[in-house]
Amino acid sequence: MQATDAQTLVLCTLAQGPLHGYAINMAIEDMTGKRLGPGSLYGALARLEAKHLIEPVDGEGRQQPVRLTEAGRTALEAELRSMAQLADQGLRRLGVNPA
Amino acid sequence: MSIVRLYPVAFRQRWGDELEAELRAAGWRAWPGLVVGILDMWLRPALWPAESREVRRTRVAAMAIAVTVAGWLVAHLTTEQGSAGYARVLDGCALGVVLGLGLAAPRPRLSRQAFSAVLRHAVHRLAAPAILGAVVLIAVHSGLADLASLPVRVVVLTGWWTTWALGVVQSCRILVHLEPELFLPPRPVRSQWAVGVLAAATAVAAATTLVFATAGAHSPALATVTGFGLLGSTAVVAAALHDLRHLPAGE
Repeated sequence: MQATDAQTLVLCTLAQGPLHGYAINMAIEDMTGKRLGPGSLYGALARLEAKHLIEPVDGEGRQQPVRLTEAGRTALEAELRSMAQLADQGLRRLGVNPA
Repeated sequence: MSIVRLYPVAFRQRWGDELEAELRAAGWRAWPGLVVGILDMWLRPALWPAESREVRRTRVAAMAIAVTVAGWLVAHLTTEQGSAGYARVLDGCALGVVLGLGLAAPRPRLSRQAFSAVLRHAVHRLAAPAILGAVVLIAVHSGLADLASLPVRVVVLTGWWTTWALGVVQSCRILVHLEPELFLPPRPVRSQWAVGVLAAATAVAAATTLVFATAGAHSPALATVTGFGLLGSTAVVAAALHDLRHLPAGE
């Protein structure tokens, strides 16, 4: 997938359902303790939409939520598995039990 | 005026309102990141929201043409005091630009509406540069402009280069505003060739400027900086080619 950190974070927040930009950033703050800058957040959203990993859904007013596409779900799963494998190996090399 | 207005229109229409709200919440600390984001979006038109791959391809081609011509103009200005050899190489680059434009341009369908649309766009967009260019040519060839006077020469040269710059900007605008129902978009491979040719022309312009910097420039430092700037432009056009080759299917 070659997603950046910002793109992976956005995909993670959308794993449980559609959200609009502001809510995505709130969810990222909940997960990581830090919000993305608006330039990074909307740059990531534009990239993910251009790759068809997310798509818009009908929203109310000026906010248009987005959701994961099937390709987005697959890409996120692959990315997270790869990260988990990397974390697992790193922890083993440190002599720490991954579990 | 909000800084969000500096984003490309297509991006603003899709994300502008939400981005404004985020910016109000984040305050001025978000501005540096936003400036980077704006530059990034202008250089990556393949990422702008679009209803089809054809629209994305046309936008990428228009950006590549604009960057290549800007690079060509800068290279020309930088090497103007050099030997005729530099001008000949850059004339070759200009042919590359024309070839790139020809490859990237959608073909009009064989109908009266399509040809009248071409005419309408050409008159509407190119009238201003055509008039400006004609004024400059008449002023020079009729002897009205006293080219021995430095201020007059500066005005004439500025007018001449403005004509070209305006012509290119307007040509790019024509390219992205052609009605899809009247024009056949270029095939993906043709678009890739167009941007590839433009990348090569920019690379040659950069190399010419760097050679000039090391062999005879009055101001080698300025020519070197310009040459490296043009190498940066080459990287931008090459990235556009990469984006074109990796557009997802399914739009």
